Amino acid sequence: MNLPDGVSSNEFAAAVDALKKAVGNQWVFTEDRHVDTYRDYYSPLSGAESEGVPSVAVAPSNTQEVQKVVRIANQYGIPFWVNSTGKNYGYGGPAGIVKGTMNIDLKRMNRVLKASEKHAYVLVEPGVSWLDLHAYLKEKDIKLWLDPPAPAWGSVLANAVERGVGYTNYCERVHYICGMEVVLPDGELVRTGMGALPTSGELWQGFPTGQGPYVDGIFTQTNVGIVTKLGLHLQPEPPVYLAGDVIGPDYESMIPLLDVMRPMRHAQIIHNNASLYPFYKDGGIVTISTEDPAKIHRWSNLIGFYGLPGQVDAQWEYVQDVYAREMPGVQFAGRRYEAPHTDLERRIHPLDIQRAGIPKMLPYEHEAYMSIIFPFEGQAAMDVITEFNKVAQKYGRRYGGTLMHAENPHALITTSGMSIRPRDTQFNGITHKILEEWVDVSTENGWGAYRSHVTVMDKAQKAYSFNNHSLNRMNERIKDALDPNGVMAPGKNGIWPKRYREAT
Amino acid sequence: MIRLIGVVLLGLSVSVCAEDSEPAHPGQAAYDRVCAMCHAPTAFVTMMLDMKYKGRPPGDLAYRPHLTPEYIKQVVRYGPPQGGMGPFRPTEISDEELDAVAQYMMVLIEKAKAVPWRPMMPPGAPPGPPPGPGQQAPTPDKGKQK
Repeated sequence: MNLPDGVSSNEFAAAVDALKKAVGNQWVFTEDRHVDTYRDYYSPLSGAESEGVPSVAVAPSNTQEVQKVVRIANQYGIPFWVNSTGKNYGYGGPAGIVKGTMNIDLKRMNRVLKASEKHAYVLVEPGVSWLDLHAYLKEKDIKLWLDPPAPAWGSVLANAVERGVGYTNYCERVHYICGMEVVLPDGELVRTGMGALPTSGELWQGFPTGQGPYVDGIFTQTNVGIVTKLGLHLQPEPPVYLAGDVIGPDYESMIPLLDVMRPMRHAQIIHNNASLYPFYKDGGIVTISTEDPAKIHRWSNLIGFYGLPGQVDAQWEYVQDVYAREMPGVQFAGRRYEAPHTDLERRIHPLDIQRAGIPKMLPYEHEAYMSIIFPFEGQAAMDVITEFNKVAQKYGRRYGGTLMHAENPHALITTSGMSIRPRDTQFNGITHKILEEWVDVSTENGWGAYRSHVTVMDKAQKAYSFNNHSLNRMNERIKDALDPNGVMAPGKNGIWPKRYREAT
Repeated sequence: MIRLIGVVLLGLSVSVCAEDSEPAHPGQAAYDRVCAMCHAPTAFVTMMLDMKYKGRPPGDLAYRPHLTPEYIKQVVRYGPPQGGMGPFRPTEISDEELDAVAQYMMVLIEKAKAVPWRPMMPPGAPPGPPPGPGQQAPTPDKGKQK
């Protein structure tokens, strides 16, 4: 048993008894064979001395039980980490940072509480996966489209609050969040936006704020509250969906593809996350990469248009005109799907699935991620690959680039991965070093973390150091105010509660 | 690294059904809920595995007769030794359900012996380069082609 620091075995046993009373015996997992399923075997630190091996897992079934569990954690000073589906691989599995953490598993909270075609939103609990929600909407014949990441077995709610992105025109997910229910680290229950108005009804998912400060942001990538319900606006099924591929002729075409796209992305003529995908010479598409740049043959912009027939046709025609004028050698492929979309999944072209918001699974390959934000400029994207490859080569590895995400019209994001070999601590230690050096090289170049693996997030956050780390110091003040006993997700995104700061 | 070689699966919603005359196996419900999203005979991941391993071993787990219930349970809970799948927690599949799924897999393996293995490939679309100019689109393309 990996007890948390400062908690005696007697205190821990008393806490476990209290947890069993709160959620039922069968939903408190203390045996190693169960607790071990909450470890992250694909972490760079898996098997290392510093791996955050949990002590116990507890699975509440509703908000009230979450409150009870959180209050028990406070009473006994037990740190906890929260997972919804535990599938955020690349950034981390279900496990936390600190050894002996109690894992709060929200998978049993898997209800779609509301799905309104009339007002184009859903209200979901944390355990609902993208696959679950897709099946639910299909079963009820609710004509709303999703915007899943890939692969789609993860939580809708958690992906939104971790500020995940998709590939449709609703890709900047955080902007489509509308209303949260949050259990604060001391057990207090809060509803944000219109949800604080007890009589608001569906308006909770109608307007993202009420009057006063807009606090939803502090509950994203957070350790100051467990989001137990989340409203999310969804796209109504469009009359026409047109998938347009802009195909660059070679590896270097990445630069003009991005630069030509930029003004059209600003103007929302290109409105989706028109990610730039690398393709191999044999035609394979790279979705996550540690490959050699020399193997990448060319890049394609995968654009999606959603709307009325004349509208999407005009957009696609304009986009082709602009690229053809600015980029000799560019090629195009367009595929057009008209409503009704009832059998879309059976007839859709494989490259168009993601842009249509249809959730799918992919085989899992082991990588740890460092995702960075950098300027929306083609040369900057090339510089990221070059600099990251230099770091990788220092350690005998290679990095050839991966998707360039354009979910924001004004800056790009790329999720760079480095391989993990299960149970090979030496190999994975090098992966960890590379991720850390990617943070350094990013900081030197003015690029910053968007998200990073749990084992790197502390270092990545320290780079945001303006005025002697005043942003992080402010976050710590918020943390200490809302989590006075310092129990929730210590160290998540570099934010440590007072008792851990004093201990170091 | 994940490679989508050329073309991916068209039908996404799949499940393995017992024949009409048979009662459902006790492991089938959990299999359909937890495993089928990746491992159904026509699932995307099955196809990806066939493309990657070329049948050594087959992507469809029913054609891996060396699998034992103990091995299946170990892999589901803690991932395969060589990696490839994330562990499944007891909130996703209970011990009892996992026992039943492991037995259900034995039934699927036994049934598969009567049907020769064929690789799962995209319907009507052998692996090849992604669509480019001049390739047939699945629906009439009214957009401009250049």
